[in-house]
Amino acid sequence: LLALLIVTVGFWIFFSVAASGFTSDFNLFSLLRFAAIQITIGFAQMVVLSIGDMNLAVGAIGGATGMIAGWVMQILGLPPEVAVLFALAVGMLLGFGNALLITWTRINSFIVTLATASLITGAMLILTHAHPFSQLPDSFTSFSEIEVAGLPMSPLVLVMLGVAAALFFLYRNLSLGKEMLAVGANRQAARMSGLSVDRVVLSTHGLSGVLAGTAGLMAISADHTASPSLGSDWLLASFVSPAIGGTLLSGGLVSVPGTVLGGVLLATISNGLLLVNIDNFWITVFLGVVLLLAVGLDRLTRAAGGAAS
Amino acid sequence: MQRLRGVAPGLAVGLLVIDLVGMLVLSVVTPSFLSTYNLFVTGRDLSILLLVALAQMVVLSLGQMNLSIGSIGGLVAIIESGLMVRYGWPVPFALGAGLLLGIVCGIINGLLVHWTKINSFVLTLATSYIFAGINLGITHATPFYHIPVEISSFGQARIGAFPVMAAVTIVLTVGLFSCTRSSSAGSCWPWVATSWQRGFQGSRCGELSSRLMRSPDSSPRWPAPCSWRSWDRDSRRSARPGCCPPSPGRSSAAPPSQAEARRSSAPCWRWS
Repeated sequence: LLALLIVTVGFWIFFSVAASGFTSDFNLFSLLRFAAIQITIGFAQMVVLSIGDMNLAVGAIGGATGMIAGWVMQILGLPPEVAVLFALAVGMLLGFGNALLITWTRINSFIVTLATASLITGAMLILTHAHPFSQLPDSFTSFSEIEVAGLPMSPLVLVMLGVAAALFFLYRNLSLGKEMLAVGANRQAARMSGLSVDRVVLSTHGLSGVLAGTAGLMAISADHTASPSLGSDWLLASFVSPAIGGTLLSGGLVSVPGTVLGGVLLATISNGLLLVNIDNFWITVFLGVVLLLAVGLDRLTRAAGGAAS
Repeated sequence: MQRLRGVAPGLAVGLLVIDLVGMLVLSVVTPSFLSTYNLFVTGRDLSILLLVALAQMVVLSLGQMNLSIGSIGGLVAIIESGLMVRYGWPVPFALGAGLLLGIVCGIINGLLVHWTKINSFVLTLATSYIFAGINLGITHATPFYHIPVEISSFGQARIGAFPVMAAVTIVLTVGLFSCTRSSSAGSCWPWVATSWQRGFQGSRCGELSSRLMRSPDSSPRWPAPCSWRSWDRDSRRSARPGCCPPSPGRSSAAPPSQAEARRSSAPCWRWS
């Protein structure tokens, strides 16, 4: 984690020297807001990774909940609070749906969520006819625009930090968090020591759905539009932040602060490279390389630590 | 991952039934389904999808995944067309160079998995972005038009409803099938998968798989002929848990866990 912090700070120093305007209030504001959304997407994946599952439907759920919130606000004209609650409930239900399919059919979560991802996206496109909702109420969109206490920080960052604190508390103090890690570390052992694995899988995927829905709401608030393409490019982001932060993909080990730092690093790199005029396409290459390096370094340090101990 | 390994023979029959029923229903509901042109288009899509699926299947048989298949395919297609359209290479050379590039991309994936021991899912997710990014970075997302007519007419060519393109797929599919049935390399894929996950290195096939893991070159010399069929037969004929030798990682003092006991008593893999 320390190495990750050093790398992130290094990139910040590098970009504030190399890219003019990197440290401007406006840029920091949009960078932190982007990072907040990326990190929440990462959390949605992190919780399922912690039980050794995968959720490839994070983007589909986020996009669908964002569209539903847009529909509730624009077509039904209900206040944003109702829309948010409704969208989060739908996110949770979609997560439960994934979990039920996984526990009933005993099919690998990778395959199940791969299938439900296209199901959810398809249903969303059929229901909305792929029309974006762009007249969202001001009280909703301005939520991502105001500055908290005069700092270049959107309330979305506070939302993300709140979610991070809640997840930290979950894994550190609550029995559900420990059960999730136990299931992730060794499912068979967890089952044999009396845990209801299916119940843990159900709550974890529900939580992942809520988090994906939160990310979707944050994204439409920041974009001022609920667009049908929302969530289609979340797959890499959802894996990069947890993987860089040291969350094991095989389950049993999570790092909430690591995911936050990983997301900040991801946002810093894409923002900074744009500012130093690197072609948007090459940034994709760079992100892939960074993911490789981060996971590879993590491997190396862990191997070194294992040898020492 | 474990579920991906075993392929029940009944599954293929079930799929065949579903396929046939689906075709029957479609041809009753929409008679144009059986029109020559529609069959041609469907067959052409099928011949492409099948190759993509085979590309994933060989990696799955190792117990790994390759998420970069799409971006490798896209990169190869762009490079091939770029060589033909922009640099005027003759078609066979461009195709050869493209296939070579595909092999190189795959070997890069393989070497990275071998060296870094990173989960192949994450690794190929990363390389898929790298390959796709290179593709977009080179072309700036502008497509190549005016592909040589030999290529584009090959895609349109048909004999009745049979797309000529499907011949390539059929040859490759049959080749891969016979490879998994007969050649020692093909038949040891599942062994690598099981032994990789268990980390055992005692038996003939375990030795083979560890040798394969040590020498990631594309054509390893196989130390001993290793026929999966004899193993499979043995394990079916006698009730002894012959298929999956226990891993040496487990200390012999500890009693085998139920999970291990259950795993080793069942045949752990089977080709369909």
